[in-house]
Amino acid sequence: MFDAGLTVESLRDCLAGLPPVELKGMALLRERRPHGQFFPQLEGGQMGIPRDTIAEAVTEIVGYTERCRRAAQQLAKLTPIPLTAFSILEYGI
Amino acid sequence: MNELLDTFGLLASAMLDDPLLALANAVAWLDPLWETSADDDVYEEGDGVGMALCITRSAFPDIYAGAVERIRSGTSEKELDSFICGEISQRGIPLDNLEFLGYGIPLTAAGVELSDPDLYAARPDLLPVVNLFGIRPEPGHYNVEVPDCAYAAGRVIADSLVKQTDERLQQVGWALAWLFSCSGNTLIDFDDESMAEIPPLAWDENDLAFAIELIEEANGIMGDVSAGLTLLEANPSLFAALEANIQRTYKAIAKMKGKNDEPHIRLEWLKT
Repeated sequence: MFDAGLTVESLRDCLAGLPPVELKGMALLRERRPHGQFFPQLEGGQMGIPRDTIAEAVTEIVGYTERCRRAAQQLAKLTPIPLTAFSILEYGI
Repeated sequence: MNELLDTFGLLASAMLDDPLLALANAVAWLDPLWETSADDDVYEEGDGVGMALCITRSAFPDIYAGAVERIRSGTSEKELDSFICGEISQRGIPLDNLEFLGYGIPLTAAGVELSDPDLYAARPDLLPVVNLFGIRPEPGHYNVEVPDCAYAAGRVIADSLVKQTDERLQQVGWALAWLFSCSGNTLIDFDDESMAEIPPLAWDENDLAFAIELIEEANGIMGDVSAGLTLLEANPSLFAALEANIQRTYKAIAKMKGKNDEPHIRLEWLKT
């Protein structure tokens, strides 16, 4: 990875530059949250949300959660890479 | 209202302006079981609602969201049970109790075992038809004797009837296909005991679509079975034609002297 010219700093900038995720459930929350309540009403009432929309939002969130979980599992299994040219003075032996 | 006094609204709006907090809010709202992995069985034995939430989370997301909302608003466990069962039943999977969810997709076997005397105690209306095949239940016997060729003859006759253009003859054919377990639909051909021996269908997308199709087809066949049996009871000439064709088929099977193949004979049916 580092041979390809990617440095720790550029990797950090790349990750920090990713746009925040925008899921359907977040948009629904912003659009439908009634005053004085945390969450919109799913069924019935004036703020009722169509079932198909709810199903899409839940499916997307469940899928996103699962993708994040798998990504975290894969990151946890990465083989450590010794960085010989990088010194952390605070922990020097 | 002074903005400072409306702290709740202020904080709620601020939370939704921040992408990370908005995501956390959306997850708390729509997927409070987010820590549940698809690979885990997090529910404990007897926790019907917990199990139902885990299953609906992946299989029926909108039912899951509806159930979560009801829990949040303080719905009783009984009402929740009724809501989830009712919703899943509406999707084509009849469900009376959440406890059944844990055994895979619940499938009700409608098939019969002709050698079981309980069948004729529960359904005495079948006796005239099975008698035509030489099946005669006797009181006090634990087992009803079914002639060796009855199933082969039943299959041949059911097949012939189902291929007729007359819808009512087809219905009689489905009645025989049910009796002789040869409809091709597992729910029609298997009784409870046989069904218990095969692995249950899982609550995944493919199995769910398959189960809904299977149940829908079985319901249609059982409607035809009922209509066919009523037709036989009400139509003596059709009953006589069935009797004649059973005898012809039995004779054809007897001529084959034990060969396993089914006889190829052309059966004739009255126009109803």
